Order: sequence, then C-alpha cells, then structure tokens
Amino acid sequence: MRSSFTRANLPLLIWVAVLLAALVLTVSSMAGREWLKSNIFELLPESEYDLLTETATRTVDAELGTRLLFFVGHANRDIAKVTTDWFAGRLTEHPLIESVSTGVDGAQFSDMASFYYPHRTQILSGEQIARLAEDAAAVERKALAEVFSPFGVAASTLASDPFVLFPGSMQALQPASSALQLDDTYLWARKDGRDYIFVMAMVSSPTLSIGEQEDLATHVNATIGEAVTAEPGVHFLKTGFSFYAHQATQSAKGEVSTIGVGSLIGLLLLVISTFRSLRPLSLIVVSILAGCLVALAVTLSVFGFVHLFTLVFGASLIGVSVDYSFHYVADDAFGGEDWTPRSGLRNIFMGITLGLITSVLAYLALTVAPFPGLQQLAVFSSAGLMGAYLTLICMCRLWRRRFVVQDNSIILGFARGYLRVWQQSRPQYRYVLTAVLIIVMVVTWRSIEVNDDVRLLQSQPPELVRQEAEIQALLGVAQAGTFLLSSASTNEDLLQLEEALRAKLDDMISAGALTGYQAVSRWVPSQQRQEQSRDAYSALVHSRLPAYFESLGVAEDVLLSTTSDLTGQPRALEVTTWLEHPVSGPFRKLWLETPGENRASIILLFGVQDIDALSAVVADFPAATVVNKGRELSALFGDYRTRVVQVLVAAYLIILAGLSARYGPARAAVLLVPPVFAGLLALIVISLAGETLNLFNFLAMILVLGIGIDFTLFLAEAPGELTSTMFAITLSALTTMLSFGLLSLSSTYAVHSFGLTVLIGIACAYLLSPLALGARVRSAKS
Amino acid sequence: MFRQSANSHRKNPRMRLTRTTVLVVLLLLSARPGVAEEQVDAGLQDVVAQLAAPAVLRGRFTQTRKIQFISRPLESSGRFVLSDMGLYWQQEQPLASVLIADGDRMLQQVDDGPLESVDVGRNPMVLTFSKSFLSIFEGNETELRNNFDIAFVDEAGSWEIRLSPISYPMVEAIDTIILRGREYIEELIVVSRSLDETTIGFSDLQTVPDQLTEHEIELYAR
Repeated sequence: MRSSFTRANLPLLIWVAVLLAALVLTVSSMAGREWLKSNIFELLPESEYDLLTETATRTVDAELGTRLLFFVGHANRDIAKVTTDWFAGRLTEHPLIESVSTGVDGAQFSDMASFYYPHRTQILSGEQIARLAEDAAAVERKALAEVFSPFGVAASTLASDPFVLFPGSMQALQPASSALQLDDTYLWARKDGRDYIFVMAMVSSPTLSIGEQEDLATHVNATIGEAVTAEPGVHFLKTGFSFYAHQATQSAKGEVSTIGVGSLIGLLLLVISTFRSLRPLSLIVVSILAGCLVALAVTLSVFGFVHLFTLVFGASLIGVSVDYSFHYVADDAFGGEDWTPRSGLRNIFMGITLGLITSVLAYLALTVAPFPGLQQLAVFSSAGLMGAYLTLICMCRLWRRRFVVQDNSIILGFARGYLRVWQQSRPQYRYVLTAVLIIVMVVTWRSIEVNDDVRLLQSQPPELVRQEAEIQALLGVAQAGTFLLSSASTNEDLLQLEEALRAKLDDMISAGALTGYQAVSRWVPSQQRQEQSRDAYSALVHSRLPAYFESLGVAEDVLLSTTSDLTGQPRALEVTTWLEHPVSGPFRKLWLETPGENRASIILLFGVQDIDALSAVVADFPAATVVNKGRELSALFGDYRTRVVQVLVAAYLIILAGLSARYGPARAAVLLVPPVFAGLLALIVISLAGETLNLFNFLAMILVLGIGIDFTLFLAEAPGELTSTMFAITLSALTTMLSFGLLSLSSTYAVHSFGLTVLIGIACAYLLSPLALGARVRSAKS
Repeated sequence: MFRQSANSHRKNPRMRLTRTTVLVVLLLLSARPGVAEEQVDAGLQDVVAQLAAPAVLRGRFTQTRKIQFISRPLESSGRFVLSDMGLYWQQEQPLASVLIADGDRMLQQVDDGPLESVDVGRNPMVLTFSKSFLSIFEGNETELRNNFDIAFVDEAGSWEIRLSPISYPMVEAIDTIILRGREYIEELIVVSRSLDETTIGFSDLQTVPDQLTEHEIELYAR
C-alpha cells in the first residue's frame, strides 16, 4: 500500500520539487538586478558588419541616440527666453542629463575664432577661392564697404584681415544645416505666430534601462507641465530616442497586461460556459502558472534577463499551453463509467505528446533568424509548453472527481454540429473543397505584397512622430542615420577623399537630394586644399593690397608687415591639433579611432532623399561606403524572410516524412493539407485586407504549422468517438485565437503582424482540420 | 516710433512687444530707491522717451573713423531712415552701399551688386553689434541696460549718454559708446578696445511725415 502510494506519486513529487526549484531560481534571478529589458536594440540581430563599420555605427547611434531636442514657444519671445532658461535649469537637475544647451555659446564661438585666426590664409572656402579668381575687385569693394559699415569691426582688423575674408571662412566651417536665427545667444524660429527657442540636451547613455527611461520621461513631462501651468501661452515640442523608447515600453507594458488579462478572462468565460464549474479551471490555471514559471526560470537562466517583447508574446502562450489540459478535461468528461485519470492520460498521451513535439519544433524553428528577441521567445515558449505539459502529466491525478460538460454548452454544440457536417458529407466533397481552395489561392496569390522596411516594425506613436516632424521643419534638418564611412592610409589621403566626396555631396545638396552633412574635412581642410587657399590668398595680397591700402591711407610699414604676415610661412593646421583642441567638440567623434595603420572617418548625412542614388554616387569611390542601419536591417529582414520560407518548406517535408512512416505517404499528405492551406490563406486574407507582409507574418506561419498540425493529429489519433477530441480542439482553437487575436491589436507592427497571421491561420486550420478524418488511425465506428 | 504706422500690414509685432517691455521697465525703475540714481534715471527716461517718440526718423549722416595705423581718418556719408521696419543706411561716399538691419537680420548691397544677407546667424558678434546700435537709435532702454553700464549727463537741454559694454561680445571689442543730442540724437561716438574711434554725426533730421512714404517702404522691401 505504502509502496504503491509512493510509486504512483513519484512523478508528482519530483515535478513539485522541480517547480519549487524553478520558483527559487526565478526569484533569485530577479532579485537585485535589472531582469526586465525593453531596449529594442536588444531584439535586433547583431549586424553582419565588419569591425570598422560596427564601430562607426555605434558612434553614430550613440551620437543620435543621446540627443533630446526641444522647442520652447511663445507669442512673446522674451517670455519664451525666460521659460527656456528655467526649463534648461530644471533639465540640468536630472542626473541622466549630461548637458543642456540653449543656443550658441558666445565664448565657444570666440574660442573657435581664436583657434582658426592664425590659420586664416589656409582656410578659404572653395567658394571664396573661386570668387577671388573670378572677380577680386568685387571682393575688395565688399571689404571696403565693411570697413566703412557703422556696425562693422572690420576697420580694426584691417591690418590682419584686410579683405575681411575671415568671417566668410568661419561661416563655411560651420555646419550649414540650420534654419534657426540668433537672438542674444538663443537660437529660434517662428511658426504659427509663436517664437520657438531651441534647446538641446544630451542624455548620459543611448541605452537607458526601463526605470531610467521612466524617470527621465516623467521628469521632462512634469517640467513641461509645470511650465505650461505657470505660463499658459507656452508651447513645447520635444523629440528624442529616449521618448520613443519610453513610449514603446509603456505600450508594451500595457499590452502584456491586456493580452494576459484578456486571455484569462476569455478562458474563464469559456470554461464556465462549458463546464458550469470552476474546477476544470483550477487544473488549467495550475498548468498555465507552472508553464509560465518554468518559462521564466529557463529564460532567466539562459539569457539572464527577460525582454518585454518576450512577455508580450509569452502572454499569448497562455492560450497554447492550455490545450493539454483541455484534452484531458474533455476526455474525462466524455469518458465512460470506467474512466480513470490513468486511462484518460493514456487516451490523450500520443496526441498531446506529438502536439508538444511539433509545437516545440515550430518554436525552435523561429530561431533560424538570428534575432536575439526571437531566440528568447522560442526558449521562453518551448519551456513554457513543456512545463504545462509535464504539469498535466504529473499532476492530473490530483483531480479525482470527474468533470462534467454542460450538455447545452454552445461550444460543445458547435463542435458536435461541425463534426457531424463533415462526417455526414460524402468524402468527394472534401476533394471538391480542396480543389476550390486551391483555385481561390492561385487566383488571389498575386495580391500578396512584401515590405521588409524595418521602420514598419517599430511602434511609432503619432503624437511623437508629429512633434519630431515639426522639430525637423523648424530646424531645417531632416532625418539623420545615413552616413558615409571612408578609409585611407594617411590622414591627408582621408581628408582628400572626404573633400572629393563632399564635392559630390554639395552637388546633391544643390539638387535637393540632401539637406546637409557633417565632415571633419570641413573643419580641417587637407594640406592640398590649404595650399590652394594660401596660393589664392598670396595672389590677392600681392596684386591688390598695396593699392587698396594706399587708397585708405594705411602707413607703408603696416603694408609691409601685413604682406609678410599673410604671405609668409604657413602655420600647420593638422587633424591631430584639431582633435586635441576643445573646438572640435562633439565632431571629433567623426574621426574614428582605428586599431591598425589605416585611418577612417564618418560623414554624417542629413535628409537623404534617395539612398540608391547616393550609393550610385559613392560607388565611384572604392574606399567609401554608404551605411544605413535601417536599410541594412531591412535587407536582413528580407533575407530572413526568404530563409523562413525555406525553413517552412523544409519543416513540412520533414513532418511529411515523419508522418509517412506512421500513416503512409498519402494519408500523411492529407494530414498536412489543413495547416498548409491555413497558413497560405492567412497570408492571402491579410494581403486582401491591404496590409503588406513582412518577416513576422512568415514567422507566424511556423506557429500555424506547429499548432495547426496538432488539430489534425489529434483527430487522426483519437480513439473511438470523435466528439471529445473535436470539443477539445474547438476549445484550444478558441483560446489560441483569443490570445493571438489580442496580439494583433498591438501597436507594434511586428507583434500585430504575427498575431493576426496566427489568428487567421489557426481559424482556418481549425475549420479545415476535419479534412484529416480521411486519414484516421482507428475507425470511428464503435 | 512706437506709434502704429498707418500701413498696418507691415507692422512688426516685435516692436510693439518692445514698447510694452520698455513701459514695464520704466515703471519698475521709477519705484527704485536712491535719489541720485533716480535723478539719472529720470533724465535718461526723458531722453529715451524722446528718442523713442518719432515713428519715423530720417536724415543725413557723416561718419569719421580714426584708425590707429591710418594717418588720415576714413570719412563716409549718406542718408538714413529709421522706423519700425528697422534701419535703412545708405552710404553715398566714398562708395555706394546699402545696409538694412532689424533685430534679426541684416542685408547689405555694395555698388550695384546683389542685396545679400549678412549671415548674422553664425556670428553672435555681428548680431549683438547691430542690435545694440539699433537699440541706441530706437531708445530701447531694456536692451541698453542688458548690455551696458549707463552714465547720463544733462546740461542746459543738451545731454550725453555714456555706454560701457558689460556683456559679451561687445565688451571684447568696444570700450565706450557716447551719444550726444538735444531733441534727437546728434552724435554717436564709438571707441573700440584698440582705441580706434568712429564718430557719426547726424544732421537734417526729420520726423514728418510721421509714417513711411511709399518710396521709403520700397527701400526697405528690396
């Protein structure tokens, strides 16, 4: 007696011990560290870049990712200024804000002027050189006007910069990308009757944790709120990667609870309406909870953290892991007088085991795409399913009292009725239906359109997008993110390469194909360019200075000293000097630190209209490449979409081979028809609804296969009467559709695509599953 | 100049705001303690109010610039118009040039060349200069107090204001600015840090008609 008790309960005891261990593991993994992550970058694949491109991409990401841009607007610019100062002060108080700038720093400008002034003969812009060659007399006349200007200071610098060329050279050095105007030190622009003052803040890191994001966004929003309360006419615009990240986290958090709670409520309603008892629910809930616990424990021990994205998907796991319990409960409810937990388990064992294996295989197949996000999702889901499965197997005998299905349950009625339609129709109708579906699919196949653009996959809160667009319009700077990566063996070669590239870029700017760029060679011309500048300068001094000075009455000794000063030995202006000097500021990052002998640099581009046209231009320069992370990722997404299709085909072939061993090729093929058709129909329906397809639709097809084939397998494997199986399938299809249907409501397009495809696919797989009736192992007649 | 001109579609909202600010500052100043200061302020306010009174001021100027290393002074002359559209400064001698400036932008034309925007956005120096000078012409006391220490002397109806820059970038380039006048400003002297001296004398000043003529509007609008 005692020994039989122990033997019967051994799996149960072991499983309870395992669950306790999982609980301890989970709690200890979560304690005292950041176990939940939300940074979208963690989900994306490692780029397939070489080291240099990777470094460059990181530099640019960090540069763009740490910026927060604001505009503080008011009809009265003085009020806007006061508010700006107050706002900047409050921003600075936050520990995550590294610096705040409210405009042009006068001292910074003067630093720059004193850095370049000694080199003034070497830094003439291309335009200035061209003008000197064209019409030196006009240059002199203009200088003369400056000398007499009531506002001018040109007269005082007449001896060192007689032709007033330095201000123009300085202008050319500044990035010509801003549409802003200056007032005191504030940069501003007018829009809709308000004067908007520009504020830029730098965040200390491009990747903030969820807590930090929350903290920063709360601080910024509270500060803005306070300002608007104090001065109702003030209007703020804000943009920055951190705000998008925060918004994405918030909506993902909301979705986790919506999907989780939604699934549970749906489940509750299903169970109550079907069994009029909460007892089946206790078995289901225990198996779901155990599944989630195992999933968390395994994921945390494999990855060390759980991504919010995994939880969003994971919440839909509830709807899948519940299937095993449903089969057990249904078998119990429909079992005869002599039904025991042991016999019930035996009845469903083959079906749910095959189901588990195919589902886990389907999830693992998701990992073909090297997206860390998908890998974690696959591990999480597989572990969760195995947890739920083992819980049922080990613990079901705890529910000794029989489950009773309400005979008037709608779901039972539907399952029974739907099954009867199929059972009573003649087998030929199945062929007719199959043929009709094939025709429909062939005809509508062309509506399918694919779009791999990675931007589609990020959630884009319209309010933030609108503010970003307004800010870009005010700044006159368009979207950044594309850059040129150039390399050469020496600094001089690299500067010359940049200058050659910039000549092409300038053409693109004039043609409206680009709005601007930042490049080191703008601040440090190549030696070659410096020599050209000096030659032009010397020619001007020799040809015009004596007469010019004489007309103004400048003393002879001043002419001599000025001439020798401006035509004497140059003062070397090197990249290394510039890099070490504070004037290079944030732009020094564009000159990359390279491990080897080679030098490399970034030219950051703004407002690229057509990246292919840009690539064509740059193709003439073998040492330069166009890098755009978004485009590379889109290409990668397209590449993996193709691979997923290949994996799907391979998976079907392998399953076909496996099933052929058990059922023979013909019946195995029949078993595969429902999930194959379901997946294809899902794609077609989504396309007909006007959406373009992406990687995630195809990844979802793997799940449609994994879950959809369960339906046909359960029907094929079911012993005796089919009502209980059809009933269980109906319940599990409903719960799966419920949870994935909720995913399709997600604001993140990737999640939406995935959810919608599974929703439609599973609906089709369920409706078509009775096609498998023709391939049953055991006869239905009893 | 704070009276609204008849051609209301050309009104510059900034100017009207400035007027409000000036009034507020004057009110605040009148409440401040200290007899001596009050007297200075009272006289200054009168002058500032006087300078600000006409809607349009037009006349001729003669500029004499003494540079340390140039033996003879650089002389230039021409005419100007000052209104709520900014300053129109047309030099006739020794070379023809036109300068149009308001608080935010500056346009320049040399000989018959194109009217070009002097890109003040890049250089805070140029803009602060032009704004400070404009505020002197316009009698914008707020702007003046932000940028200068002000000393005021009034003797028998002729006054003198001495401005010493206190803010960057003026402080680096300008030593003193002296304004002299009676009803209107008659002389402006700028002494630079390098001790170069520019004297601008104003003559033939007219405030009638008290709005811009069609011809003058065209000048600004070019």
